[in-house]
Amino acid sequence: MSDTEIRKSFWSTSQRLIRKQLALLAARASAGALRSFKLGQGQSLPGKIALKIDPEILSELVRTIDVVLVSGTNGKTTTTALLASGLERSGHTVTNVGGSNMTGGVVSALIDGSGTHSMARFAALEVDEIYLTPVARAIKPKAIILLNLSRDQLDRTQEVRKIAARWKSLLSELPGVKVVANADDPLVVFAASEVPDVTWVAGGISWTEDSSGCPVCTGRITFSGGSWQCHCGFQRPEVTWQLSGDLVVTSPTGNIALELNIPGSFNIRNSLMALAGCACVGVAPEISKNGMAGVVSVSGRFQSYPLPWADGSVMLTLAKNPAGWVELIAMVDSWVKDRAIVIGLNAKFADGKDPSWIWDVPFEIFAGHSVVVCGERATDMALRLRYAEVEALLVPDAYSAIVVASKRNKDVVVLANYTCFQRIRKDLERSGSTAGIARALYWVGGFLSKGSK
Amino acid sequence: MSDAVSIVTVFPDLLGTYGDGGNAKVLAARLKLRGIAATNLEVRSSDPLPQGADIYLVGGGEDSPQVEASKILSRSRALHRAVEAGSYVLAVCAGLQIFGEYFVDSEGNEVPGLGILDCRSVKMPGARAVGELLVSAELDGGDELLVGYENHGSSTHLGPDASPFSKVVAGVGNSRIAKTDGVRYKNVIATYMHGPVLARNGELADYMLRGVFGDLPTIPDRSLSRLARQLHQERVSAALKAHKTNLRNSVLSGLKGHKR
Ligand SMILES: [Zn+2]
Repeated sequence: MSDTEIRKSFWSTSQRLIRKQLALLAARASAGALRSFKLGQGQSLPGKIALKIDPEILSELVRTIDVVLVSGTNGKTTTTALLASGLERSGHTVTNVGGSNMTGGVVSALIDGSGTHSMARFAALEVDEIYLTPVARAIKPKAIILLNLSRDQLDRTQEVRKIAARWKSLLSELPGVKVVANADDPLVVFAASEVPDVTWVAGGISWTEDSSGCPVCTGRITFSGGSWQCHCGFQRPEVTWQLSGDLVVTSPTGNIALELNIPGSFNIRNSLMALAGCACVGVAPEISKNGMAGVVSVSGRFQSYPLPWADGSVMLTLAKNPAGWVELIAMVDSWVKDRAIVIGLNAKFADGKDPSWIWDVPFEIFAGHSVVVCGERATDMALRLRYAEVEALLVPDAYSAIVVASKRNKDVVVLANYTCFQRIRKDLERSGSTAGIARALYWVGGFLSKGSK
Repeated sequence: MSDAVSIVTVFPDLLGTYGDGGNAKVLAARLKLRGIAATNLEVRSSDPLPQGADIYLVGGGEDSPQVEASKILSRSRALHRAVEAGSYVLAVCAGLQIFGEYFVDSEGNEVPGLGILDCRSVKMPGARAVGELLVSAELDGGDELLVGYENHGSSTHLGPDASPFSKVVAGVGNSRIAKTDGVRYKNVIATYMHGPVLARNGELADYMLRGVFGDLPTIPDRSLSRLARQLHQERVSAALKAHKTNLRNSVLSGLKGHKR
């Protein structure tokens, strides 16, 4: 190398380092500023700033961190939380649980984890199914967990089949990536079908309406006895991870007894996917399962709050599309006896602006019962329920709806879609200041509730 | 068939993506509330369509299932016979396109439809039509405001033997130029309105039911009727508001264009 060449390479290396440091500094500073000015939780902007200054920052950040991405329509957040808690048992893990799951949010989470005093060993990151391609291209993760695909936010994501096809072409350009895929979902199997290193897991499927058309030949897929197949030969692959009892997991290395502290059979399936994900980066299920036992609520999902205005509690659950609702319905069925039910529906950008999917949910199961309905699109939901012969009391303001419901039963469960859920959670977490108004409402609400029978 | 009003939902496994299955639920419920018996049959694409039903409902679906549905229905000609026999048909979005001469698949290839309606659907220039759709349709001699949600990437062009179902007040409908939505032919109503359209427009549901059953008693459950009207009004205002914003934005961008 000549003298000038050496000098040139020295300068380009230092420029790279400087750019990286600048990007990190700017991101951390903006995150701090956002936090101190209470502008949200500073989730995605820092990442966006860092990417602007240094577009290659992602590949820099993940050189020393084993990244596992989690994507799919339902269960992303909970699976990522289980995964992160499982990995944490083996080394410091950063995660974006409860945060932004598009590109900016993912970078922000990684920046948080690259601090000098808390160098992370793992990252468990949930990624919006539509953003999986750009995020995975930039990060080159060690492993990707693919949960499921079903209709969600039809106004902007349009066709689930196209997402499956996009995933498939993404995976073909990531040599060496380990994929943990749900063998019960034909669209996921299609996406992962040509990956050399794939772990097939019996991740379960509660909604088959979006996958009954074969993604290979457009023929029909038939589901029976926990399996599925098409006449073209496309069929459920042999799984290596599955449930062999209520909470017993069969894995390639033996049986493991699970301990879970979040409700719902779908969450057992989510933890199965997370266990297999941990194993992909070398954390054995005997170790990771202990971490998972510590998960009791995930960003407000399944979280119980005491009522600030009376003796009783309110539990929050997220129900944002037909597949999610179908998973929850079995639980609602057991709740109707001892809880008042509030259903919340919004149609903001993050929810999808077209809530017509509520007609795909078999609310007829609750015929004869009575629920309180809230949210921007409460009227849509109330009419849907009335046509299903479910009594629906319309209280558009979410907080008031909970107050009214608590008059019917001291324990309340709220099932709401994304922005409605977030709004209620925020209200409940700072409800100290509004408790006075709530108490007043509670008494007025009592009359409302009585008057509507 | 018996004297119960028979409602058939056509291939919900292929054409059930956009919540249009709700149309059958609304029709059956509005009959039941009036004490009129109804049978609701969902027929999947692996099974033959029954003949002689009073109402057939064909909903929206994704590209490749739409092609598959069109193939099966062309072969069986079940819907051709139903339309000739005077059955009522509500065809929404992909359903509308299937009833025409041809439509385009995701690669842009022309796919033959059933040829029952004199219309052709092609890739729409510009952006996909997504949003509230407000129209004015003539039902029983009077003009009714109907409101739905549209989500389609094709425009539909009508031939001389087809008449549009309605005039567009706000939104896109058949195409950005024609300012009409859907097609009417015999007892077929074809439209781009999801929502589901009959949940948002009880008047349209009752119009179809009167066609089948004759005069209908009023629904005794006043609170349900009130709620249905409230939803209709809410969506009409939402459509008008969205339209105003669009109009303002296009005027503003037009002004900016002038300055340049
Ligand atoms: Zn096949």
